[in-house]
Amino acid sequence: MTRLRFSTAWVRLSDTLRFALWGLLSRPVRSATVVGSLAAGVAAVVLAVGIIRGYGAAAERAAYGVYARSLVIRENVYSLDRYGPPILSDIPRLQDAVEFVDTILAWRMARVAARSDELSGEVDVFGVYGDHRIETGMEVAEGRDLSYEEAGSANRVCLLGEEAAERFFPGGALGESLSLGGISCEVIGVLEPSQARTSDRFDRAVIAPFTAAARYFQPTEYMAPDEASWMTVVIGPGGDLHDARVAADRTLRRARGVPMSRPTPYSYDDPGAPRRAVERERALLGALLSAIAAVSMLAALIGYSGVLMSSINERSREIATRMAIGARTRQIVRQFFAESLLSGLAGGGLGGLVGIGLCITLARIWDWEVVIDGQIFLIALALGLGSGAVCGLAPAWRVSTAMPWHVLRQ
Amino acid sequence: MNWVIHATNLNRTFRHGHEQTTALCDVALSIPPASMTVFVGASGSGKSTLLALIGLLDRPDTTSQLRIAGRCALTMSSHDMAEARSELIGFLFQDAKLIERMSVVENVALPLAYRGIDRKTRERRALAWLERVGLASRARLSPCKLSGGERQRAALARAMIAEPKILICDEPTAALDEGRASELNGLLRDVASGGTAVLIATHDPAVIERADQAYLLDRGRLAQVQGGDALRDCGLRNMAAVWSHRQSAGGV
Ligand SMILES: Nc1ncnc2c1ncn2[C@@H]1O[C@H](COP(=O)(O)OP(=O)(O)O)[C@@H](O)[C@H]1O
Ligand SMILES: [Mg+2]
Repeated sequence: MTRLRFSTAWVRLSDTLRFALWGLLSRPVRSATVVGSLAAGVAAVVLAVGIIRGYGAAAERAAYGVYARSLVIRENVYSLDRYGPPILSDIPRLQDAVEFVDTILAWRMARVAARSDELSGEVDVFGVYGDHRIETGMEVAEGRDLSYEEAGSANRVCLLGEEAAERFFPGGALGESLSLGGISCEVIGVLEPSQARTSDRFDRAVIAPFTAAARYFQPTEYMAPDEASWMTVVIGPGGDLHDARVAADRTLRRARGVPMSRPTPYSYDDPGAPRRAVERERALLGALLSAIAAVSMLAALIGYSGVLMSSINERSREIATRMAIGARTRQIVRQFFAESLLSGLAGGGLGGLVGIGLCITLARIWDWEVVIDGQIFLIALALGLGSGAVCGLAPAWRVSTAMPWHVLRQ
Repeated sequence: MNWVIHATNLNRTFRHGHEQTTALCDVALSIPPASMTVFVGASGSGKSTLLALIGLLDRPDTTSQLRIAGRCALTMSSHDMAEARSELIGFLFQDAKLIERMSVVENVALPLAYRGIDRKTRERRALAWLERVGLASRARLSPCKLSGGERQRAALARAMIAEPKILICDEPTAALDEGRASELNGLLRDVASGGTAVLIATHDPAVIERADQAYLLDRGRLAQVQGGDALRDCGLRNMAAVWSHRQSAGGV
């Protein structure tokens, strides 16, 4: 009994598929029109999605994540009063006064003369107080990172950016000693290449502990040893950049004794701004492309459902004949529904392939960034299948519920 | 008597806006199984309309009474009608109505597909029927390769493959020459002898010769043909002659 039921279900399914395939293949031109019109719309959607996602990936790289929520504090070079750059002892003050502070990094940067056994030349030395990775986003590829203690110490150790390591030590930098401003310094690690545009300056540079940099590698008459070229205040979730800026300014004014009537002694930059601009641009472009893709898809759907409908009308005599020789309404509906699902699947698949091909071509010719993967193809298939289901059901139903005689006697 | 078809007060009116055409008017009809019934009448007299109603391809006016194999046609839903067509009725139209893009054997086997019979079985049975109508060698061809007579015989095989109780033929020989027509009539006679009620609308005197009973339709009104006079009055001279000859030879 179960076996019997299973086998009739199988006969029904295989016949439905067979008749649907027959319906498509026995009218190749018509089927090609149906599939092609749907494929055009799906390809437009796939192209738009590929470009939007490519833009997103580019925006991602426009700035390393941490900059999205940080303030960079520097000396205000436009102010006539001189109070000097921010100093290390400002860090605890800011931590107390600014809400939602995640961490604060202090940096000191100078260009110094460097010399290895192979080469001598100038190099940027970044002295860091705190975990440099928060700002650079770069892990150590070889050797080890600065430890927490080292970062606060004056140990004569350093990390080399990838290009700097290649430049000064073509045979391998690890454990070698690099002379910085005449003081020798051990290379304990080489960094991996930068991921974000904002950190590619570290590729050509040396990173050393803040105090060691200030004391040995970049001593200068213009900067005291506790002065920082800039400080990066990273605001945690829930914090507001504007509030943080107001609080930081009030704290630093109080520490320096600068009344509100005077210009602020420091500048507070928001390095996330360009990234946010890119994202705004992306949203705009995304909306535009989505609108174009939606219009193309709509046009394709109108064409697709039109051809589907007229092909079913054209076949109404065949349908009436089938009804006369024993087909039930639901068998006819099932056959035509399966037919439109198949054509939808074919249209979706073809459109997916064409769209992906267009994306690849764009990427090749104009050097655009696009993102394509299996997911986008699945979206294309689903789009085709959905269109087939929506556009196929109505005409199949309409045609099979009429009394067959009205069609047959013509 | 156990009628396969039993109709009383059968009416069919077509409406086009305010215009009304009464195609059938108060038709009463009873058909026994294993018989061959012929419907004659001028063009437009309602033959096709009557056969469409009996074949459950169309619905009569609601005042009618029509029973097919004991089931009341008026209370059937569209689905019930399709179900009953599949189980009880075969059709043979003037123009065969084969599906051109399928082979002959696929056409013949199609009614079985709609009954959920698997492909091997239905092909075997289709080939057996093609053998019976003399088309075994044409099974794999496209219907457009067949002659008119062959097409009608293929259509007959398709109509009969599900072993219906009723076979409805609307002018089956109208497009055939005399030889092909007589071949087909022989086959129809065999079908009737096999237990099926065969209903034929025709202008062909040769058919009437072999029929068990004949009805005359005149502008939607049906009357059983007793003598040749009624036929002659309707201008069906050839038929009247055949009928009279048949009666004098002791037929019916
Ligand atoms: N679907 C229809 N709509 C309108 N009138 C119809 C329809 N079917 C049949 N008729 C009319 O009914 C009458 C009988 O037609 P029909 O049964 O085809 O006659 P026959 O088959 O005897 O030549 C004709 O007057 C015809 O015009
Ligand atoms: Mg007719």
